[in-house]
Amino acid sequence: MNAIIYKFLLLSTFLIPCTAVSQQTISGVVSARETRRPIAEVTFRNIDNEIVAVSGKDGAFEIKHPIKADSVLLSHVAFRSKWMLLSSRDSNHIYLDAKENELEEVQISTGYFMVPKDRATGSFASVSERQLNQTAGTDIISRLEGITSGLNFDRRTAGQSYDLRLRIRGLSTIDAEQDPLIILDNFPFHGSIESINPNDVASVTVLKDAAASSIWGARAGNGVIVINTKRGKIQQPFNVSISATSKFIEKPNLGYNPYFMPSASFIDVEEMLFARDFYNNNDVYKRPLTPIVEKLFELQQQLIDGSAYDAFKASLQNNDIRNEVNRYLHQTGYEQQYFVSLSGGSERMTNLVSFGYDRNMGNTRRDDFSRATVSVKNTYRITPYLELLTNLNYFHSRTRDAGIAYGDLVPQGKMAVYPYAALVDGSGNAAAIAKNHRLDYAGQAESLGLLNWEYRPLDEMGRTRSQQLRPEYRINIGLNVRPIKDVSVALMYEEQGQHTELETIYEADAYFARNEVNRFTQTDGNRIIPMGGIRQGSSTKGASRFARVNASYEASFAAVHDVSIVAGWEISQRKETNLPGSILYGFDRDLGIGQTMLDYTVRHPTLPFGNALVSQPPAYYNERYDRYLSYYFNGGYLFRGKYNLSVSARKDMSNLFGVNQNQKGVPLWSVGVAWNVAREGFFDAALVSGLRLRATYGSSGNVDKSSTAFTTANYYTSSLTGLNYAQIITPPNPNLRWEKVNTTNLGLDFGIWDNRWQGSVEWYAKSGVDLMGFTELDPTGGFLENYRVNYANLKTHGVDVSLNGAVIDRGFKWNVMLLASWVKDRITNYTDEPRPQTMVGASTAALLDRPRYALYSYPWHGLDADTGDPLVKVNEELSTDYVAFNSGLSIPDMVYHGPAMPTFFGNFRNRFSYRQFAVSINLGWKTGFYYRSPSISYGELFNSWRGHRDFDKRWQKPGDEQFTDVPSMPTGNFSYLRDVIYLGSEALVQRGDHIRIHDMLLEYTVDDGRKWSWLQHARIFVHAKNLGILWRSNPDGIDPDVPFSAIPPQLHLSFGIQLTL
Amino acid sequence: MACAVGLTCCNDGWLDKKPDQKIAMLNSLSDLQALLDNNSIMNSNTPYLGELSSPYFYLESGALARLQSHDRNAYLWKTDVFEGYDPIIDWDWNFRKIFYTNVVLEEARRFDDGSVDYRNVMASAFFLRAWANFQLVQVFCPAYSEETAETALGLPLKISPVIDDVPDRSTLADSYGHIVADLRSCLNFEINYRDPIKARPSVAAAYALLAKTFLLMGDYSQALENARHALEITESRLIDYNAVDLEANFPFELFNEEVIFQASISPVSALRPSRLLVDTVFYNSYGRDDLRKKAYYFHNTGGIAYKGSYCGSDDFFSGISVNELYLIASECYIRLGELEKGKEMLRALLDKRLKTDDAQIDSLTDAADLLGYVLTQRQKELVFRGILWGDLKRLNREPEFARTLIRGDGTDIYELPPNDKRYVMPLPDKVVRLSGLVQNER
Repeated sequence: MNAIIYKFLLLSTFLIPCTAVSQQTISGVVSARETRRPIAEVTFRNIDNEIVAVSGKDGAFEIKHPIKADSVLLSHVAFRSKWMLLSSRDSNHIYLDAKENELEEVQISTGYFMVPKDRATGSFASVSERQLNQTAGTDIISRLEGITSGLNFDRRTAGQSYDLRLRIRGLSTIDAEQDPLIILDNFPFHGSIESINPNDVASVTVLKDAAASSIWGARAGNGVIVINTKRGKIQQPFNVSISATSKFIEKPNLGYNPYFMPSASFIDVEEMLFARDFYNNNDVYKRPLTPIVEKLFELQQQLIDGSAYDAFKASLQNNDIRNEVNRYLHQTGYEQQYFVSLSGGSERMTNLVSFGYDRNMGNTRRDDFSRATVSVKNTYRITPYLELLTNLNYFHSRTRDAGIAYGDLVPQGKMAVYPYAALVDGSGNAAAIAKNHRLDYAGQAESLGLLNWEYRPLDEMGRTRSQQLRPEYRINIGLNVRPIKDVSVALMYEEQGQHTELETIYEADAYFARNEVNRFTQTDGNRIIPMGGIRQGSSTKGASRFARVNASYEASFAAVHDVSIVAGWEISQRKETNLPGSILYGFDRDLGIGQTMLDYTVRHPTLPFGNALVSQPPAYYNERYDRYLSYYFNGGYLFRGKYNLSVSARKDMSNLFGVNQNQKGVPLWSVGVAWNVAREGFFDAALVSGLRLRATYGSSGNVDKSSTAFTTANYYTSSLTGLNYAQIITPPNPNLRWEKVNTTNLGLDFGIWDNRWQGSVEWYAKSGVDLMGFTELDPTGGFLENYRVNYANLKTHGVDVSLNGAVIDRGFKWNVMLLASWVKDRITNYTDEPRPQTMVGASTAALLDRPRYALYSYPWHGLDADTGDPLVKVNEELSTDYVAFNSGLSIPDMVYHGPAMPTFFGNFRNRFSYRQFAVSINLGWKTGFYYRSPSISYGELFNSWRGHRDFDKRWQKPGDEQFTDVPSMPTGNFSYLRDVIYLGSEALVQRGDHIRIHDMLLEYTVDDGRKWSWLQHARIFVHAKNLGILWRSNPDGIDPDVPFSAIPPQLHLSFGIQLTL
Repeated sequence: MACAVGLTCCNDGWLDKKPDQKIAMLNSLSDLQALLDNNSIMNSNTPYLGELSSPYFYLESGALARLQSHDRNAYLWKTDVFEGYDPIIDWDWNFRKIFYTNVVLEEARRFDDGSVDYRNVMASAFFLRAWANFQLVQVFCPAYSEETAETALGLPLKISPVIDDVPDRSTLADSYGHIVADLRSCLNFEINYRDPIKARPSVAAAYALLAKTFLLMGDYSQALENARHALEITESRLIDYNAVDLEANFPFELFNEEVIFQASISPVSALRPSRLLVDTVFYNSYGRDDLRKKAYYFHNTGGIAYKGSYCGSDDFFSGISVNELYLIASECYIRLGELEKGKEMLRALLDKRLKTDDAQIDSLTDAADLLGYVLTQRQKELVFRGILWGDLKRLNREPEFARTLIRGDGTDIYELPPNDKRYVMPLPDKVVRLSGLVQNER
C-alpha cells in the first residue's frame, strides 16, 4: 500500500502545471449572508466552465489566472449560485445566500478533524442544527430519528424510548456491544444522554462506513455518532438566544392493550376454574385470590347464598381497571424546556454561556423529571500561534417517582391485575386490592395486633417516594499551537464525572413498610423490624479521563496538491464504581432517625408462613476500569481539487483481561478514493452542478470485554455461612479473538439544476468475521450461564439513498426530502444447528444463511373441529399429540417467514413554505419484516391472570374452526406445549410493513432586521410526533414497531419559540 | 494534567488493570476453596423429581392443575415427563456441581504443595463430585443390582472441566464405582479434622456417603462399616425430640447437631408445604407417642402439611445427618444377622423420638419382621429428604418389599408397578439433542 501512495505522489510532482510569472490576482473571502461564517469549497468557474478557484476553509480564495471575461460563476452545494463580476482588488467580500433546501453544507466532524463534505471519501450523514430543530424533545438521540439516513431505531423489545437500540446500517456484531459510540466534543461520551441539552448542539455527524469510523478504532464497529456543541465565534457580535418549549404527551392509550380481557370473560374463566377445584383455600402463604374467587369460596361454604353472589358478580362485571387507571393514576404529560445562550467574540477571544432548564411531568401522576444544564465555553487567541479552548459543562437532573403505575398494582407472582379491580369503592374512598395476600387475611390483620395490611393504591400515592439525583460534569481544555506554517499541534484533556444517587423512602404508612413490619412480627407480638418508615439508598459513580496529542499538517502546493495529515496519540480511562447501599429501618424523616442494628444473619419466622432473613443493606462494592491506549493516523490528498485519496489507521490497546499481551491490541485501517466528476467540466455546470464518486474499504473491530481466555470468577458473600464464595463467570476460552468488520462503501453524490436537486446513493457491504455470540451448550458440561464464543460470520449489505430537492422554488416553496435504506444481512459460516424450540422465542438463535434476527414459526394446521385444540402434524397425520410433535421437531420443519428487522425503511418529508410560514410533514415507513403477534396463553391466564383480547375470539363450538385460529379454552390438565405451539405458530406471524406520520411541524420564522432591528432571528413552532399509522399490512391493530408493547406510541405535541437577539 | 496521565501509562502495567474488580483469576488455593464454598450450587438443588414422584403425599386436583406440565407429569408418573421443557434443574444443577469440582481438581494441580489447604481442597472436590453423581444416579439411572450393573446405562462421567466435552453414558457399575472411587480419593487425603462449617464436606460426610452408596448397591457390610466410622467421628449425637418445641413453625434449626453435611432440595414451586398434603394413612402410622408426628407435621386447613426440615425453613433438607446413619447401621446389622446390634441402634434412635420407650421393638425377634420394622422407621424418619425415592427403587428388587404405587388426579388413576421403567427419569431432551446421549426408555 505504501508503495502505491509513493508512486502516486511521485507521479503527481510531474503534473504540476507551469504557471505564468506575472498575473493579475483577484482574492477575497466568501461568507454566508445569514451567519457571516466563511464558506469553504465554493467553486469559481469562468464562462468556459473551467474551475479557476476553490475557496479554502477560511473562505479565502485567490484567482491567479487571468480571467478572460470578468464574470465568474460561484457555486456551492448549500448556497445559491451566482454570477459575479470580480475586480482585481485584494479584499472582495462576497456573500452567498443559503438555499432553502435543507441539506446545508457542513464540515464533517469525525471527532479528530473536520473535513468539508466535498473532500470526504467515506460515508457520513450530517445533521445540522436546523434539521435538529425540526423536532422537539429532551434528548438528542431521539431527535435523529427521521432525519438521518441508514439509522434504524429498533424498538422491538418495548415501547419505551430508553429501551431502543440504534442500528446504523443494520447489524455488524451479533451479541457483543451493539450500540454505536457517541463522541461529544472530540471525546467518547459516557454520561447519560439526557445530560446533553439538544439546544447546545451545533451539529451531529453519523459515521457509517469503515473509512469514516476506523479512526475511532475498536469501539467503532457499530458506527459512531459525533456530536459537536456550539461555541462563540471570532468577531461575532454579542448575541442572546432564548428558547422555550412546552410539550404535551397524551395519556397512554390503555384501550390498545392487547393483553386485556373484559371482566365478564375473566369472571367466566374463574367460575370455570373454580368448578374444577383449581383454587386453593388452604394456602398457608395466603397468596392473593381475586374477589370473585373469594366470593365463590364463601358461596361454597354457604356463607352467602346464590343471589348474593350473583349481585356481587353483577356489580363487578362492568368494571374496567383501565378506566380507573386512566382516571386516577394517569395524567397528560407536560414537559417544559427553557434555554438561554449568550455568545460573542472579539478578535482575541470568544465566549459562550448557556443555561437550560427542563421540567417534565410524566404520564404517571406525581412522577417528574427536571434537569438543569450550564455550559461555559471560551476560546482565547493568545497569539496568532497559540489558542486556548475551555469547555465547562455541568448538568444536574432529578427524577422523582412517587406515583402508582399500573405495574405497581400487579400482585406478587402475577403478570396482570384482575380486570375488574376497583381503585375506588362505592362511597368514593380508596379501595383495597389483593396485592401480596388474600383480601380477608390483609383485612383482619389489625384485629390480630398487626399493622393494617391492606393495599389501597390511591392511598399509596406519595407514600413511596424514590428520587434519583444525577449530577454530571464535563471539563475540557485544549491548547492549539501553530509552531510553524501549516502545522498545528493540539493538546487536549477532558474529564467527565457522573454520580447517581438513588433514594427511596417508604413512609411508615406505605404498604412496603407495613408489609415488612407485619411479615416479621412474631407470634408473641414482638417486632423484628421496628415500626416506622424504611429508607433505601444506593449510589454509583463514573469518571472518565482522556488526553490526546494531535498533530496536523495541512498544506497546498502549487495550487493543485492539497495534503492534510492528522496523527496522534490518545489515552483514556473510564472508571465506574458501585458503592454499597444502605437500608434504614424505623426511619423517621422528621426526626432524622433510623436503625441499622438488626440481626441480618438469623432466619425469623414470618407471617403468614415461612421464615426469612431481614433484608440487609447491599454490601456490593465494585470498580470497573476501561482503559485504552491508541495511536492513529489519517492522511488526505487532493489533486487538482478533483481526485481524493484518504488513508486512515489506528491501533488500540486495551486492558482486556485474561488474554495474551499480543491480543490486547488490534490494528484497524481504511483507504478511500473520490473523484469529483463535476469539476472535470464534462457537463454543463448549471445542469450537473455536482457529481462525485467515492469508494472506501476498511476494517474495524469490536471487542467484548467480558469474555476472557481463562477461567474467571466473581466473589460474593454467602448468606448461609457468611463465607466468601466464588462463582465461575467465564470458562476458559483460549480461542477468543477480536471481532472484525470489513466494510466496502461506494457512493455517488450529485446535484442538478444548480443543486436544486441533490442527493446521494451509497452501496455498502459489511462482512463481520469471528463475531461473538451466545452458543447453546449441553448442560452436562456444567456451565449454565450464557457462553460467548467467536462463532459466526455475518454479511450485511445495503443501499442508502437520500434526495433533497425543491419542487417549487418561488414565493411559495415546496421542498422534499427522501431518505431510503435497504439493508439485508445473512449469517455465513455458522456450524451450530440450534434446537427448533429456540427459534420461536423473543430472540431467536442464529441459523446459517438466514438473517441474524429472523422470524420462524411452527406450521399451523388449524383447530380440531371437535375440541378446538390446535392441530399438529405427527408422521404426516394431523394430531393433537403435542409431545410427539415437539420431540420430533427439527429445523427444516419450521416455517421461515423472513427478517425480523425492517429491510426497507426511510422517511419522506414534504416542506411547504410561503414567506415566513412553513409546514412540514414527515412520513416514515418500515417494511420487509415480520413480527409475532401476541395472543392468548391459557397457562398465563389461569395462573398469572394475564389474558388477551383474542380470548373472546376463541373456538367455542364445532364450526368455529372455520373462522378462528384461537384455540378453545382447555379443559382438564393441559400441556404447556398446547400454548407454546399456538403462540409460536404461523397463524400469529404478520408482516410488519407500515407507513406512519412520523411528525409534523408548523413554523413561523422571522430573519434579520425586517421590522425590528434588535431581532436577528425568531421562530415559533408547533410540532406533533407520533400522529399514528397511515397504513399497515397487519390486520390485528398492533403497532409493528412495538409489537410487545401494551400501549402504542403516544402523541407528543410541542409548542415552542426561539429568539436570537 | 495530560502529562500526568501520560506518565502513568508508560508503565507496562497500565493495561494490565483488571477491567472488573470483581473478576478473579484462579490464582490460589483459597480461590479454589471459594468455588467449593459456593453454597447456592454445592449445598442446594439436590434432585426434586424423585421426591415429587414419591407416594407419601398427594396434591389436590386444583394444586395439580396449577403445576407446570413437567412437574405434573413427574407427579403422575407419565411416560414423557419433560415434553421438551427446558431447563431440567435436577440434571443441570448437579452437573454444574461436577463442573466446579472438575475445575478445582484441574487447577489445584498447580498448587500441589502437600499442605493442609491443598489436601482439604482436593478432598472436598472429590467428595462433592461424588455427592453430585450420587444424587444423579438415583434419579436418572435404574436401581443397582449385581446382575444388570454391567449392562444398565449409568451416567456420563465428567472428569474434565472442558465444558463442551460430554462423554457417553457409562455402565451403572462404572457410575457407582466412580462414586466410591471419588470418596476413597477424598479419604486418602487424610484430612482428620471435622470442619465446623456444615456446608463443607468432612471426613464423617465422606464415610456417611460411602455408607449410603453401598446401601444402594446392596453391599451391607461395607455400608455398615462406613456408617460406623461416621458415627464414631460424630460421636453419635442425636437431638432429643423430647426437648424440642414441637409447636414451633419450624422446630429444627439450620446446621443443628444431627447435621453432618448441609444440602437442600431444589426449591421448586411444586414442592412447597402448602401444596403437599401428607398421605393420611402414612401420617396415622406414627403412634400417639411418636414425637415426630408433631415435630414434622401440622394441621393446615386442607390437610396435613410438613414442617420438619432440618433447614429450619420450608426448604426440604436433603443433606446427611446422624439419624440416617443409625438407620443404615441398624438395617445392615439386621440384614447381616446381628439382630441385637440392629435393635440396639434402632432403640437408641427411637429413644430420642418417642415419648416413652418403644415396646414394639422388644417384641420382634424374627429377622424379617425386624427388617420390616426398621424400614418403616426409615420412612417415618427420613420422609421429605430426597432419600425415599432411592429406597423405593432398591427395595423393589426384594419381592417382600416391592409395592405398587397408586395416585390419582381427580379423574384418572395412575399406577407405578415395582421396577417399572418409569422409575428412571428421562434425560433432558436438550442433552439428547446436543450430545447424542442415549435416552432412557420409559
